[in-house]
Amino acid sequence: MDIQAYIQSGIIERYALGICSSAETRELEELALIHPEIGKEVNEIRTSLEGYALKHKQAPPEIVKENLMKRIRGEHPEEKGKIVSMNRKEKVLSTSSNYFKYAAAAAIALLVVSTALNFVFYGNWKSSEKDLALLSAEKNQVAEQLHIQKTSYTDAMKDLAILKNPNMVKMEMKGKEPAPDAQALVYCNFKTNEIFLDVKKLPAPPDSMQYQFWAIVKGKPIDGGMIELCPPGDTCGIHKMNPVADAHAFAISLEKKGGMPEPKGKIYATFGI
Amino acid sequence: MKINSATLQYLPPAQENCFGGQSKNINTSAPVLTTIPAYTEEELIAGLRLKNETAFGYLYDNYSAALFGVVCRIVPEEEEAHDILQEAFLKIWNHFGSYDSSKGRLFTWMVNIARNLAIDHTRSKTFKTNKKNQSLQDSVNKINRQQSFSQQTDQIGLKAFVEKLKPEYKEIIDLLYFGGFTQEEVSKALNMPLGTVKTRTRSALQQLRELLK
Repeated sequence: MDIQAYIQSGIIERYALGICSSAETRELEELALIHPEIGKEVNEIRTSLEGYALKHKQAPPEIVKENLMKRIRGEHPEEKGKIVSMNRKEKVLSTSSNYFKYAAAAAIALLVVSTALNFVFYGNWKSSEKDLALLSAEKNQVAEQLHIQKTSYTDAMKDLAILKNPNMVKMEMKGKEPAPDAQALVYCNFKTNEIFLDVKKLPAPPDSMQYQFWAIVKGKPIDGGMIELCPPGDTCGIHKMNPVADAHAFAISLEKKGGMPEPKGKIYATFGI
Repeated sequence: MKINSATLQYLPPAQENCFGGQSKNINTSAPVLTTIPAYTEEELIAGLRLKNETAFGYLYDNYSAALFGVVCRIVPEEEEAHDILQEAFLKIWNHFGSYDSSKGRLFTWMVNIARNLAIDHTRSKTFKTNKKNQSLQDSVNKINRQQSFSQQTDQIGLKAFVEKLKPEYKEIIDLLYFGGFTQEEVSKALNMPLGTVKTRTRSALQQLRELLK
């Protein structure tokens, strides 16, 4: 690049006068870093412009300095200390109307921002609320499951305690003619006479009928209680029956709902008979 | 403390102001150096960055006449010129942090602040008087009118100096520097080809440089 031609193009003068475009300014400032003669030229033109400005210098009245010093100390200079001209009034009005213009613009901008934020926060709040509902539903589900697990655990522990008792004797009942594959276990405590029945397999009885458990004492059947069959798929575990002393055999018969004092219906399963 | 040559040349003048008869309010002597410690430009800049009021007072005493001269050149109304000068110094005080000494001298920066405030003031006034379509022509005429006005009232030094400067050079410098017009605006207002305006700008500043050497 021909620097002399660049300097003579008039760009330096325009830069010193502050009338360059921003692209021209950038170019000149970059070139000045490489070519010190550009910086020197800028400086000389500025100095002559400053010299020209200085030729016009006039001392302002003392009141300007007084007011200025008050203002930088945060005091408000008294208006009566000033000479008030006709133009003064107009200026005050325009300043205050400008002030309101800016204040109104600022207020509108704030309103827009705050409205936008409202939408954002409302959205956030809504989604948080949804999340919370989901979480609390989940929590309830978990608690319910836990309750179920706890119950079945307690039941299992109870059953286990019964079975682990050293005085407990286990007897296997076998299916009879109406249901050859019927199966049930009887647990009998010979110290306390407690009897527990664990039905493994029995055909579902008709609606009006119910299975009844019998303990045989000296050849005589004694009511051991009605059998509540569990719905299929559920393990209902071990059921406590009526305590009977000195039983030597057991039977299950199908009777009318509510049971009979003596077995009348068909025998479905037996032990010891 | 020492005073360098750069600060010395900005000492307030010991002569009358542009408003002729009202010079009784004005410091006619230059007591600045006897009452306030002198600063080098670096010390002054440091003091202003630290918001030191004494430094600011010194700055005002040394530069206010120069800045006021520039403001008066653009805004001839006395009361308004006072306000603009005050605003300019307030801006200098409040925004001193934005002054970058690597980009240019303190005086250049301050003259630009004062000049821009004054130009903005005249332009918004012209705009408000609903002469939007006439504003350029009006403003240019105003700067030119101002020329004859200041020649009547300004100090002898300026008069003598200006007489040496070619009138067409003075016109173009005043419009670009004090008026804040672009070369395109000057070309339109003076009805002169842009190329001529550009050539004349450079010649004018070359002559100014020679005269001030």
